[in-house]
Amino acid sequence: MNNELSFLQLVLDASPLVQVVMASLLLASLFSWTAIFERHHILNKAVREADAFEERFWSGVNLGDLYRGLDRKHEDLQGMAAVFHAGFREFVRLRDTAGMEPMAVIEGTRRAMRVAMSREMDSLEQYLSFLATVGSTSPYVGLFGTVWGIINAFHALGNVRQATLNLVAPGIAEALIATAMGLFAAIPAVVAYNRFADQVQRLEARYEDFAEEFANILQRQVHLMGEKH
Amino acid sequence: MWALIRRYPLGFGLAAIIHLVLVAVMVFGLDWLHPPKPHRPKVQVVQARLVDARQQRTAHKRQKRMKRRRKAALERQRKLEAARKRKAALERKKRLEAERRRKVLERKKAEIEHRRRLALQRRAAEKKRKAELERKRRLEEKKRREAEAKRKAELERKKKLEAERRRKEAERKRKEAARKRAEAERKKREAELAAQLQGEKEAREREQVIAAIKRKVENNWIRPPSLHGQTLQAKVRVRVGADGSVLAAEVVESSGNPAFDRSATAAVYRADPLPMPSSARLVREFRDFTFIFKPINQ
Repeated sequence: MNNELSFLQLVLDASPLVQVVMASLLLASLFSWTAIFERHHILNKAVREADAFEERFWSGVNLGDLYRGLDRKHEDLQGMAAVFHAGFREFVRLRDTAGMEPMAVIEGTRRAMRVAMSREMDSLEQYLSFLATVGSTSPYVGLFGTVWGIINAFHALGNVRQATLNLVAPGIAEALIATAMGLFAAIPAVVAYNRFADQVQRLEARYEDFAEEFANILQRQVHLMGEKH
Repeated sequence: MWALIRRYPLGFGLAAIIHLVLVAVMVFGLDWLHPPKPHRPKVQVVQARLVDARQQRTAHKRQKRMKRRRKAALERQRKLEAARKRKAALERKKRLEAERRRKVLERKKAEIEHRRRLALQRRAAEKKRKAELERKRRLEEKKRREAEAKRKAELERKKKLEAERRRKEAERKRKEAARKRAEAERKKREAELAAQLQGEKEAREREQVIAAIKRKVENNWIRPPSLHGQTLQAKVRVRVGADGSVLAAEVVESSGNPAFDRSATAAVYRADPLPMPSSARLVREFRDFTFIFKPINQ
């Protein structure tokens, strides 16, 4: 590689604005990769936990026991367990209230589960909007840096009598680095965003299905109790 | 964002490593495209021959001696050669130097000459340019003055024409005004005359109509028998329709004799329809009028 066109030299020789653009893109890339790793970790954990919880739930365990087991550490419950916990707590409370209609009990339970579910969704979707923003804006930011750099290059070209390729090439190469950086920041962010959004949607569907099935079970129980009385 | 890093520092570490690796590749690693050339070690190939040791020694000595001699001769020759060369080099150098100086001098001279000529040319050109400019300026000035004079004359002429036009216009206006005034005067007089004539005509008609009404009412008057040769008169107010039909008649100033008053109103009713003037203006006057009823043949 010849010395005058080395990467480091180009970056250091760029105009201050282009350098700012490059620095911000580097920062955006850094944060978006951090967010990608973090979300990957969190979402995989959520899927694993949902698998484990479903297995436990359908293994025929006594729901009361399950609830009591969860209630001991209910501060840091997450995912399906949190939905189950919220629903069951509400169910027990409403059932013990005198003069409650069975339908009202089920309705209240459903509502509590919906609230817990929306909270879970919120925590799962955190930082996804950041990824989307990086994915959609950083190419433009990079392009801006490039355009600015090329403007400078041509501006300098206007001052000399005889234009040669040697005069413009470094300027343009330096400017194009900004676009490359923008794309480098954007592509992983977009890919990761699409993947994570899909994962979150699947998890949401699973939570919803679980909540419905759980509500059905509770409804059956309420009716049985009503017949006993 | 800091919350994100705090939440999952491992992720940030991985991201930082990825970027560092990338930057390192960009900065140092672009030489991959040109794989380094393997450098060949320099090997000297030795050619050897097996020889007898003694023979070798004597040969060796002889060789050494010859070598020494050759070396001394070579040395001498080299020295001589070197001295000669030095001398020649010195001379050449001197010559070159002189040549160079001469050339420089010549170049300088030529330069000066060239400059002088250029300056002269420039001065001449300058002079010519100035003369040309001056000539142009004068011409321009002359043209300008002529144009100015022409413009002034034109202006003067225009002004005169304008004044003339204005004067004529004023004259025309004055005449027009006089004519209009006379016309108005004439019209007014005519109108007055007409009004007068009309007034006279109307007055005549009015008199005629009043006389006719009086006559008709008197002709229809039936003298009440209780009247004994006195001359009585009563003021009667009459309202009439547009065609002269009597709508109402009443005595507004009695004669003192009720029978006479009654006979007066009766006469008016009987005289229906009353004669009316022909012009609409007079008819309006006669729609409601008061007259003194005083029959002559009482």
